[in-house]
Amino acid sequence: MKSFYIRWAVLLLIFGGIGCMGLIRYNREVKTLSPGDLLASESALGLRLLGMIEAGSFVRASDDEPTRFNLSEEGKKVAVVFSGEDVDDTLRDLKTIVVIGQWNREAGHFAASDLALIPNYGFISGAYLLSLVPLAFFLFFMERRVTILYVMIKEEKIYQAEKVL
Amino acid sequence: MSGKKLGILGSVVIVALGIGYLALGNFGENLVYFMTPSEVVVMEQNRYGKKMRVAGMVVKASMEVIPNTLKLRFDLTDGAETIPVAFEGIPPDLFKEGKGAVVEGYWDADHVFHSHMIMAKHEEDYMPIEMKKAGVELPKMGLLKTLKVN
Amino acid sequence: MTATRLIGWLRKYEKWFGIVAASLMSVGLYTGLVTSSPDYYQGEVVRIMYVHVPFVQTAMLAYATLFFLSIWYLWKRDAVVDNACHAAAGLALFFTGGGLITGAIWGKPTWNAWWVWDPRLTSFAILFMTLVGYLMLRTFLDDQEKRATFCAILAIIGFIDLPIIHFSVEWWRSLHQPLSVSTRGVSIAPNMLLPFALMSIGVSILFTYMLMVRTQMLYLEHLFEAKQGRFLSEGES
Repeated sequence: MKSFYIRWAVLLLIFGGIGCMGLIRYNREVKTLSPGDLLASESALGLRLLGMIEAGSFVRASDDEPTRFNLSEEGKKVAVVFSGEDVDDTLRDLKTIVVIGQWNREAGHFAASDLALIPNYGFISGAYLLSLVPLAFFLFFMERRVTILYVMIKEEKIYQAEKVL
Repeated sequence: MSGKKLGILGSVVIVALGIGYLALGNFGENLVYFMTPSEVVVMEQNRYGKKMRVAGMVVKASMEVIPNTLKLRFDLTDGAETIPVAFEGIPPDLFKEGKGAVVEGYWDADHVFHSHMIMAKHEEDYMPIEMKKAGVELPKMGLLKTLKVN
Repeated sequence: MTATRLIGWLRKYEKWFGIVAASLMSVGLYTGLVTSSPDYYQGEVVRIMYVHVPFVQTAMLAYATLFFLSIWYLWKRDAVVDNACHAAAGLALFFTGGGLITGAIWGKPTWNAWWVWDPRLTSFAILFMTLVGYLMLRTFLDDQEKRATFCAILAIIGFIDLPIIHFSVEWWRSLHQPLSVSTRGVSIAPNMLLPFALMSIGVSILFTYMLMVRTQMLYLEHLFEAKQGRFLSEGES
């Protein structure tokens, strides 16, 4: 029984570690702010801002003007000037998107140089947890049952039972 | 009838219903999960206003949003025919010009498809944005082919 | 093959399957959650594919295993094979359920629907119902041989659903995307194919391991019940 629990503790450590690395990556590369957070903090650092492009506010880049739109979330909105390349024509009205760049305090707009799609990390963690956690529990109780059964059968001395079948 | 017999009957009925559903008619209805624009334009008048699903590719540069509303219009094509769609609401994030969409709603005498619900239909290729930028194309069936236009 | 030899063999070799599965899955999860790129069209949410597809494939593998074990049972009429059938069915139901749940969670952010009655999803739901019916039938039949025979026949009939599930997206109009790995080639970029392949193979091997463990469990329980039953009747006489 002891080796059984040790084995599961090791597994838990390994997979828990992988989960932590996933979380670190999320905090570093995926986590976003809302326009409300940005306006409250006025931080000028490199930021990832998540919001929806307001209906009718999207103006695609022309020869001398960059792409502009308003990004809004829960009533708060921020003007965005996007100077990067929209590789797959991702931008459109009414699209929720992540813009990556800096808050330009003087001009009062967000200067974005890159884009990312909405992370939807709640769905991702939901899918991983709802599949792998039940899997782990299922396997754990199954293995434990087998271990106990072998012990019980050894005690009952019935593991020679070919004729029972 | 005892509980046990009822249980046996119940389990057999569940499986029989499932298999029967596959083998006999009803599965056939789901084989046409959606219609295509070609079928919509030749539809009989008595089916106008009835709820249905239509799939196609959102025509590039056809989407228009009416400012300060949640109303939008776009064209949906299956390669042979194109229909205009009027939608009210927030389209899903994967809704995109040049990509697939399944719209739920009704076709009316004004020859516009009125929709209240859009589903995005994505393809089977997956790659990072850097590869897309480099112009890589992975093998795939092609969206219009998945519509199985007759 | 005698039952004790088979069970002894399972007990001896199971750990290798467990070790291989755990290694493949740990590397698969690491690449899937940490190093692989987001998709150009779906973004991060494509990571759900690395659990959804392995679960669905394993569910189908488990049902195929149940099918072959059922044929084996009808041919040899060995009670331990019936235990293995029972084990495979339970696991198939588990993975089918997991496939349905992860699929629903992937469907909402991509399609904008948790569930649709398109051919792929409908045929997969039928697999789920078939397995529920199969396991219900097992609990309601008392006679061991009758139960094993009826269930084997049921499992063999239900097998027709498997090719339907697989090819539904190629044959009919479906909201679900077509096969990413098919005769057309592989439509997944290398750095996303790695977690996809590792998880697919890893979960399949994990299923093999679980089948070995569960077959032993059901065999031993059966053995234990039979023995206790004998104690009971000896006490009565």
